[in-house]
Amino acid sequence: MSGKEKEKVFLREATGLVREANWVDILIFAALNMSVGLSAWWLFLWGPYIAPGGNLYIGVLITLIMMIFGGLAWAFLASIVPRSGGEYVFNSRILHPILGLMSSWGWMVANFAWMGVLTAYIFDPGLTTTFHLVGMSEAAEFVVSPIGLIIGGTIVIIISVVIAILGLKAFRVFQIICFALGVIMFFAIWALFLAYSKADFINAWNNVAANYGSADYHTLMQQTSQYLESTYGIKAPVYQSWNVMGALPLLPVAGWGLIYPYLATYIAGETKRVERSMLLGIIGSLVFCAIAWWITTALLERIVGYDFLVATSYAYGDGLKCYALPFAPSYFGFAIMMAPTWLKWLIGIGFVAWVLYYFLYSVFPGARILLAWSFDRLAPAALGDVSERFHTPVKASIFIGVLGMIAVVWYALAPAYLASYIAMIPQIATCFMLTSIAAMIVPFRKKMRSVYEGSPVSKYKIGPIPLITISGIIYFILLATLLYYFITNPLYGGWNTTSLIVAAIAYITCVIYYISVKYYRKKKEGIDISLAFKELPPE
Amino acid sequence: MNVRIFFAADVHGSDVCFRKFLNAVKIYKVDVAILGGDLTGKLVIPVVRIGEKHYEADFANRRWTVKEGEELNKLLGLIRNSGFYPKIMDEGEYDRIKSDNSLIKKIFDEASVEIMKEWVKMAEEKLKNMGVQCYIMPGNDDSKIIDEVLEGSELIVNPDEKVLEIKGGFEMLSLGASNPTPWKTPREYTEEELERKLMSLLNHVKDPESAIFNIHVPPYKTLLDMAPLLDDELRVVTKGGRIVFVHVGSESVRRIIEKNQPLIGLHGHIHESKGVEKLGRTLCFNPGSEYGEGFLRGILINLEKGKVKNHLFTYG
Repeated sequence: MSGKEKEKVFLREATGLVREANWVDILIFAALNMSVGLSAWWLFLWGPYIAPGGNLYIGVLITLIMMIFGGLAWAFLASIVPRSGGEYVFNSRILHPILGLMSSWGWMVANFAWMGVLTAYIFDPGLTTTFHLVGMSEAAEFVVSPIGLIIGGTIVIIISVVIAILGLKAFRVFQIICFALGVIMFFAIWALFLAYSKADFINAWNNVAANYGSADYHTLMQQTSQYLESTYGIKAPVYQSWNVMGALPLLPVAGWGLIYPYLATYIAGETKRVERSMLLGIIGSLVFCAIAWWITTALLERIVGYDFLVATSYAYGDGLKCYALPFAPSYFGFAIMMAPTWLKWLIGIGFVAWVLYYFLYSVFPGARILLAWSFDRLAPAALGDVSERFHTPVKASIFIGVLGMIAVVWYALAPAYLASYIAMIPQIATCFMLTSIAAMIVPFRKKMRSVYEGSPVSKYKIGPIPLITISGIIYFILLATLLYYFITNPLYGGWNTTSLIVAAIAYITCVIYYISVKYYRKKKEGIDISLAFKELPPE
Repeated sequence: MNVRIFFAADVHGSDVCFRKFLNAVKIYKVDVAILGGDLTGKLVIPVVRIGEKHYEADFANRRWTVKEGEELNKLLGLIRNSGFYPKIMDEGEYDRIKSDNSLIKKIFDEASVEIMKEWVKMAEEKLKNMGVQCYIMPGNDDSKIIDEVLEGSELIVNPDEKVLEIKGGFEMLSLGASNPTPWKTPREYTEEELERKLMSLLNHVKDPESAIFNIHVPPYKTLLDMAPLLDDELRVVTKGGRIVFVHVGSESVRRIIEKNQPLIGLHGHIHESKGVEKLGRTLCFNPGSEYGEGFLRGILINLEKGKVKNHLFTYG
């Protein structure tokens, strides 16, 4: 027996009274899922293209602030239902079982697309940029050919599935190596950008451009300026403005990374002082990511110039003749151009590392979701089998690997049909939006009221309104804004027949699947799966 | 004969979970309801009287100050639903108790017995004339002081350390104790002692292959027994930002199941390890527990012609 002084409680010897994971663990987990290095490439390539002149600092700041509320929504939900295992269970409880299924279904559909897209990013821009800039042109061309993507993708998938099967120990080692290499890449790039001058960069660029018959720095700037003015009416050179409205179209670009710290809530059940740890960890990871981007933005402005980022993004994005380099412009590529050979490899491998472990992040939770569905009789029992040898869901991991292979082949043969934003749409429209709604309404749901009031989250209020409700509303506004831009601005390339088909797949197949499985289980096995989430009266 | 069993475990003093357990009988149309161990709460929350009509308590990571009446009753209800025992006292009483372990034990024992009496009464009222068999078994966390309360019921059966025949003619072997834990809980035995107890119970089972083994602790090295690894100070060990999980089930339980191959194994104990796993032909279940959030995790099992027809995990 023991009595605690500070907190007036009396404990007795009973299982489960332990001190657990802290906010640092949460921060690492959340930061990894945002893949800071990969998202940075996206931000600096497509940010200046979609919103020329849009201030990257402000765009990231607005997304960061709104996403902090998104992070709060996830953190608070995880605090109220800490052993939830993510959105599947708390959306099932707070909203409806079918909506819980839909949120994880949307996640699976989105990750099907992600597995193809993300695997391709390892090779293009990752390996092809590095190979070209170290003089291995044949290898650089091979890795981006359809057969190269399929072979390379297969290797990545096999490695990922094997690691998933081997279990958490192998996963941790792999994750730490990748994260360390990725962080080293950032420090190497920042050191290079600080050590060299803009003149050094222009010289390096011109040397590389000359090898491929591409325009030199000043010619590219000049020709792109003429193109921008004649085609889009944009007067070049373009510099970052401090206009807040001009930065708003950057939200979907910055959101490409910043909306992904949620995965940390999956370990909420094992977290000490969960509401404090989640708040510090998730918000800390968001701030960490934003700071890394802001430092890179400042150094890119210094060494490359924002106007050149705009010029290369349009020259590459619109396929202008003045950009004849066989790889996409990238912040890490700019650094590689100036680096000695050994550092070129380190930076290239660092970028690949940011993408490589991200694929595994699709396999691990995907296998967990299939396991959960299997337990709830929503998926075949075989997918819930756990290997006696490895103690991991081998069949579910292999199944995810097969889905990944289909996505890789699809992307390799028809890359136009899958794009990152297409993957984001069903994820936002199902998994994330449903979660934001769950956060909004949880204090007011009769069946959840006592759970909410008994949780530490209930003490956070702004006036009479629960902070979780406010967080859910702001998170929903952010997600709706992203969808608004996807729908109304064709530059994102996310709203087209294919994306509509993908979104429809996420919704319609989910409903059809649930109804079919429910009918099958009832008819053939005599069990009603809707009982799984039926709320038992607490009176 | 077709039999529908509802099994839950580890409610740890949560009023709301116990009421849900009783309500599950009607909602799930259950023939046999089993609550498999760890019934009592882990914490007493002193609700300290300050001034004339105000009370103060530390609960859910915050300090509550409430007025006598509706506010106080609401707080007491929230504490009870979380599985903790509220105890109203004045500051002097609190100061006296906090440094006296024997008084703390006395409070726990009194609260456990009082709540268990309430539960038994509630069960007898709710399940009367429903034709359900209700088995409520203490687990390793439960002091032996509650056994007397359970044994005194006319409706509830405490199956601990017994072999009983349940509906459908199935034999049920039950044991609430566990192998050693880091907390040195009231009902723990060494693996050897546990095995001896199980072997002794097995002598009373006529047909092990069609029996139900209702054993609180899950078999070792399965999906059902994964818990966070703890260091010497009972802190969870993390590596690379992730919790390290280890198997903490019972080796003797595993050996007994593997050797005798009962129809099903019903387990609890490890809240994080919800799952189902086959050991040979035996389907072993652990529904997990979320008593602290007021959710009753359970498992519905339909037995038909001596076989498991189907099962479903529930989150009521």
